[in-house]
Amino acid sequence: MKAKKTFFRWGDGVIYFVLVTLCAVLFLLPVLQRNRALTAVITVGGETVETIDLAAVDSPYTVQYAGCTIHVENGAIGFSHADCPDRLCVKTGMLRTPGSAAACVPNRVVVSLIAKQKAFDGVAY
Amino acid sequence: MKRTAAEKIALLGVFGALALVLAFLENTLLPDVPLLPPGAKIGLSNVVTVLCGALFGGAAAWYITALKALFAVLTRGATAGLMSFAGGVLSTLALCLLLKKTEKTVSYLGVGVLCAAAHNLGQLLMSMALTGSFALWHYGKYLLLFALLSGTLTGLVLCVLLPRLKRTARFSHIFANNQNAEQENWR
Repeated sequence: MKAKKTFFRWGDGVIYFVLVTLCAVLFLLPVLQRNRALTAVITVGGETVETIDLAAVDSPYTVQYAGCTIHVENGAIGFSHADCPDRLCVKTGMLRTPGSAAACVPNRVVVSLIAKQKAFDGVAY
Repeated sequence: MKRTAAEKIALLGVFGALALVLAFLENTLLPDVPLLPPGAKIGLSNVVTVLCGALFGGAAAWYITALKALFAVLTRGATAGLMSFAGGVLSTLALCLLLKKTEKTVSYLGVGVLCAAAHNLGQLLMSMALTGSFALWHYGKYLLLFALLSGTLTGLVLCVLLPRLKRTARFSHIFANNQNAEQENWR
């Protein structure tokens, strides 16, 4: 009974190496392009409906899009309520770092944070 | 062996039911662990998909995948169904690519990890397609990290489970590549 000999083969090593490397690169990329000026972008069905400069927010407020309530405060944004069954967007919590995003897939609402300078050619308010 | 076809259908039914029960338990009993990315699951029902692929061949894995997607549509709605479908298709594709290599180069640990990663990639692509936004791409790193952990877990389960199932004499005449299974045990 030497079935355990087949537990780990070289192909597994290759799969693990590729995936772990890819994972490490994805985690390190945002660290390299750290940027303090945060801009939140809200899209509904792929259309950008609102762009918020989070550094310029004085007091917290909420906005509503397609059944989702989005909470905005200084330096952070997140879903506070949604009418979908699983509420994964609310469970994602408040977003604070560039590149992070939350989405309500049933309502097709996405909130994402971008570093201000690199994001768009121009941002209209 | 006239009974083989009927027995295979019956066994596939049992495995299909097992996949649905595991998927259901995963959705209700393990709603969300705080540290994990939201929506992440261990992929217990994917164990059954790989199991069927290894025991009966790729077609059986596709059958389980279709069954799971249909079940998700019926119980959790169209969005969940589409997500399950996208993840299942990529995961089963990865499984079918690896199945031929499981004799020598890859063990079920690697199969579990790659299938988990493919499953999460499929769900990520589907969620990006549904929202029409690339913003969720940044979520991929968490999904990939979690796929590594959960894939290792399901891979370990498979490594323990498969040799024992293949050795089960009662059904051994139904399983595909049975000769290889015999050799594996004595190697």
